[in-house]
Amino acid sequence: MVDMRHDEDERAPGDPIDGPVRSPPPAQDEGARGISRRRFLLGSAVGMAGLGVVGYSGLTVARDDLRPHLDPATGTGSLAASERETLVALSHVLVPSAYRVNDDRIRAVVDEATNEVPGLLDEYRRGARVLDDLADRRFAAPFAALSIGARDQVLDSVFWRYPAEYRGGMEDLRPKVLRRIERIRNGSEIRRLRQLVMRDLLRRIYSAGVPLVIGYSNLPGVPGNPRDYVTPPEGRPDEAPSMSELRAGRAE
Amino acid sequence: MTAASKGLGPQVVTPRRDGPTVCVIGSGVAGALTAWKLGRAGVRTLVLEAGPRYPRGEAAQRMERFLEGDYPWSSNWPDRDVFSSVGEVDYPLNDHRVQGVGGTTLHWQAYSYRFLENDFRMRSRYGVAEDWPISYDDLEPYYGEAEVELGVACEEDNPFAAPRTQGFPLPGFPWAYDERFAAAAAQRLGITFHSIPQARTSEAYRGRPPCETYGVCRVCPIRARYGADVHVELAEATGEVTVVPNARVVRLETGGAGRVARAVYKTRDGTEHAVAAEAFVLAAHAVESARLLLLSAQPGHPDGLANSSRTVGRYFMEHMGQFRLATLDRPLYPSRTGFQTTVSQQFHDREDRDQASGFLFRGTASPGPSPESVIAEVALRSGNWGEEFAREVLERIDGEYGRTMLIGSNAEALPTEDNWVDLDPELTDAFGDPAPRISYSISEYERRGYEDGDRWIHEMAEVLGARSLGPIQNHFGSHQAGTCRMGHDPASSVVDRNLRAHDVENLYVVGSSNFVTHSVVNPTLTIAALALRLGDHLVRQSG
Repeated sequence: MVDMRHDEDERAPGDPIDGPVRSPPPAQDEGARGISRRRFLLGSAVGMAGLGVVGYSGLTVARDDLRPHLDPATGTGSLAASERETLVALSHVLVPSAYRVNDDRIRAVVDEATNEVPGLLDEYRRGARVLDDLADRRFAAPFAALSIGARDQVLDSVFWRYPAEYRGGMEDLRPKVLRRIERIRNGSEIRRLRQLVMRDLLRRIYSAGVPLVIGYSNLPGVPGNPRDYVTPPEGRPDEAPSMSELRAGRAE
Repeated sequence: MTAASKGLGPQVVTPRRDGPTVCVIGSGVAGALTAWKLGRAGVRTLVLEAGPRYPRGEAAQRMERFLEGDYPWSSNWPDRDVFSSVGEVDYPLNDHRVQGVGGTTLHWQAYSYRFLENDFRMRSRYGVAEDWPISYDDLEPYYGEAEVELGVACEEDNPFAAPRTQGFPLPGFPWAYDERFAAAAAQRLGITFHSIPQARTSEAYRGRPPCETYGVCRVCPIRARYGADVHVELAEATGEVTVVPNARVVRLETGGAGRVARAVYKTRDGTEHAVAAEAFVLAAHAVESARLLLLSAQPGHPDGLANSSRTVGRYFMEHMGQFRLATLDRPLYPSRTGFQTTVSQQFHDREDRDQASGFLFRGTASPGPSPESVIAEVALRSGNWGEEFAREVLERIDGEYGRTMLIGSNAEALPTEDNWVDLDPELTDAFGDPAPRISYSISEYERRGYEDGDRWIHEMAEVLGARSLGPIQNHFGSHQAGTCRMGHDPASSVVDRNLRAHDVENLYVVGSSNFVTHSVVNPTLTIAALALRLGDHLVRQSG
């Protein structure tokens, strides 16, 4: 234990704590007198730095654990049909039908992902297994065999719902807190399901159905009403000048 | 090692009966229409096409590939299609040309403008460049025929258009929602917008169904958007026309008496073949046509075939586009069709065209920030799924996506000494032949046109109430012209008014390579009109 008194004793009244010492301390046996103030400060600094390194490393490990990453070494490939169907079933819960491409396209999206992104095959496979485990525990059936409502309950049993942005007084505070608590609350496999499978599938399936998302009546590559482009998508206000106004030179 | 390099000479192909009367090199719109005219008149014709045939029955798969981000019209042989660029502009030759049966019309946007009368007389009217050896009136009937063959849809609402002797074969497409905002803003500036003529079926037409707005015109799966493969098929159906795909012609050999005796082509395995014919029509694109003539240097033609004027490859012209993106406060719902519907040619034949290039002027919605990027951002942070997630995404997209208006101009490049195509002294293609080398720089004349266009872009953005206006962006590579220009004078042009080479009596060149000047508008309908006119000429000659 460090004896603080020696340093304090050496300080003259009125000297700043961190100021220069008035005179060098006499040479003494350290074992008998303890360590000098300078050595103490040096040692403290080194100790703090060490603690910092250890602490940072620990936090990094924890953070990495809470924010899992794909393992590219696990490679690419195709899921088994049953695993793929579990993910198709998951997509039915994640994306309402109005914004969702058809199941064949979803299968293609899943296949493309697992075959092109190293590590995703392993992650999707793990995700399918976790979903089946959760479904089995709650409903004694595979995830894909459940109704959409039941699948929703499975997700609700382990995940909280929160928006990307909280638009209250303290921007982002609520979703940030919920996001972090959820990460800590759940085990690694559930965390991985949320962060590496659900988020990825949401992005991929919504992107595959972008025209539906932006309010268009049909996807590129699907025939539509050839006059749809003349008016805004259904339900949106028509603010454009009319052709008769344009033809008459009265458009504003 | 090829047969020729072994000293055995190329294998002479006799495609049917006792060989073709005419050999057409290239099956884009120029080659296809020429061959069709010949075949219809009973003239035996062989078409050599460098690229593959893209089967019609695979159109749906091509569209799927396109939707998945794989461009089906990219070169299927990049090592063969190499080129170099040495001018001010790093020229993107391979970005837009397609080598295949049907050529670049396999993926074009089908805008089918006629040139204006003054486009053919730039020297006599404005004192710049040269006049064409033919006038608008010479070409007018063929413009009409081309519109019928391609199936051009348009309203007759363009007050700046050249006179026409017949109406459009198809009614025009209504103006798109987003473009009506642009047209209204332009109207407030005193600029008149009008319909774009387009080779796209607004109604069922000659076996082609009406456009169903698949929204992916570059891979139109139903042929609503015209492609020259339509006329390749019609030509083959005459029984007189044979098409050989994957046959890259590497030189034309003369047999004395100032005539081409045979075209030598190579297949993918490097094997040489040769075709003899009475006449040869070079319709291989402005760059490749010039290159082939230069590659055909031989005794008696030391600078290349048909090049006594030394103008083969010269006066290369491009049709650049320049635009800015304006962000508006209202949604424009872009990308619901694969094509634009309106434009203004008000500045095409401007009064001071002697000083600065005329230009096309347009405004159309551009997607701006991609919905995919917005989705990715929300997916990364949101804890929602189902309806709640959908609401979040829709809210964000509604605020950010589809509020961008592209406002731009396309000016006219004049033929200059600075812009050319020749043979690269070092770079060679997969066959060991010199690759084309392109030099393109923007002239002051063209630059002044773009500066004027940019002033109108700013004015338009202001009238539209744009929140912001992005930097100038340029677009190159869609249209090439010049390199084998037509003219009366053999000392300054490659072909005469009938597109016959001045130096070689049985060699014709057709396509945008013939253009003396480029005009402000897209070139394809003029290429088609020239090809139909050449077809008639060859039929008369053969008869």
